[in-house]
Amino acid sequence: MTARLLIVALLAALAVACGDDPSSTAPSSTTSTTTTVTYAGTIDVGGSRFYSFSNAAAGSVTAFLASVTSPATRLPVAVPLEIGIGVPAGTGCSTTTTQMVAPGLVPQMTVSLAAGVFCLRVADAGELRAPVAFAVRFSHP
Amino acid sequence: MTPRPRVGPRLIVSVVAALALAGCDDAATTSPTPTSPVTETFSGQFTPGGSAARAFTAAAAGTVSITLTQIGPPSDAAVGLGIGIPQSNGSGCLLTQTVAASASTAPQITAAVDAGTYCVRLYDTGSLVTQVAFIVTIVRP
Repeated sequence: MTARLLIVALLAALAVACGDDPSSTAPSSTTSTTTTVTYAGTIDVGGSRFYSFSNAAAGSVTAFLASVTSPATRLPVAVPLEIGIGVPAGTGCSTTTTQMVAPGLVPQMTVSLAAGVFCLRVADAGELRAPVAFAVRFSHP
Repeated sequence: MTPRPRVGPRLIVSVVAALALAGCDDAATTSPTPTSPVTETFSGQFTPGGSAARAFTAAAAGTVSITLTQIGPPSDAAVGLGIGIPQSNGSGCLLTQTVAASASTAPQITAAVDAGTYCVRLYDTGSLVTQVAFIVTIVRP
């Protein structure tokens, strides 16, 4: 083996050795994206609202009730609401997972879902004495 | 023409190996610079009955601290201070929690947040008789 050939071979080996480790730094093989939605509206006493969304791929959906306020003053009201995730059914949303939550800014519900159409529902579970404005932030694949 | 001196394969291997070690050591150039927490300042003025809001982004999940550091004149003015999420159309701040606040060096609001965009809002609770200037410090991930 000539000296020049040896140099070329070693530099080639060096290039491989210094390359990024695909298992730790390559982009996700699914290249999935997450969509974040702020769903806001008002709920009457005993009422509910829902929002349909489409999962482009299987994955986790996270949601939190970010705000419950008086429509008149726009100031927080200390009332929990029920949030749920399910599938559209007729003119409603048939929930499979529900939870009573007070407003917060970290995920309060995480559900693994397949690709497809689902819905997020916000409802009064008997706590309201007057209509409120709400805002839910959720992320889905 | 003077003949070139012969370079032995062992010397070539040693030199290339040394270069390899030096070239692969990238710790000095790729170590992430600590960027969290980040401190932002929000300043402005608002009139009696008015409010002021500003959005900020938490780069990761963590804790947000909000401090009304200055307000006035008068320097002992008390106002409402809140944290929430911005409306999707950017027209306001949907509040999660609020406190009555005067100027302080200690955070008046400390909240756990997920990564995402949030907002802080100051508002007159009915006590202001003249326009006030304020400075709010936001410490976020």
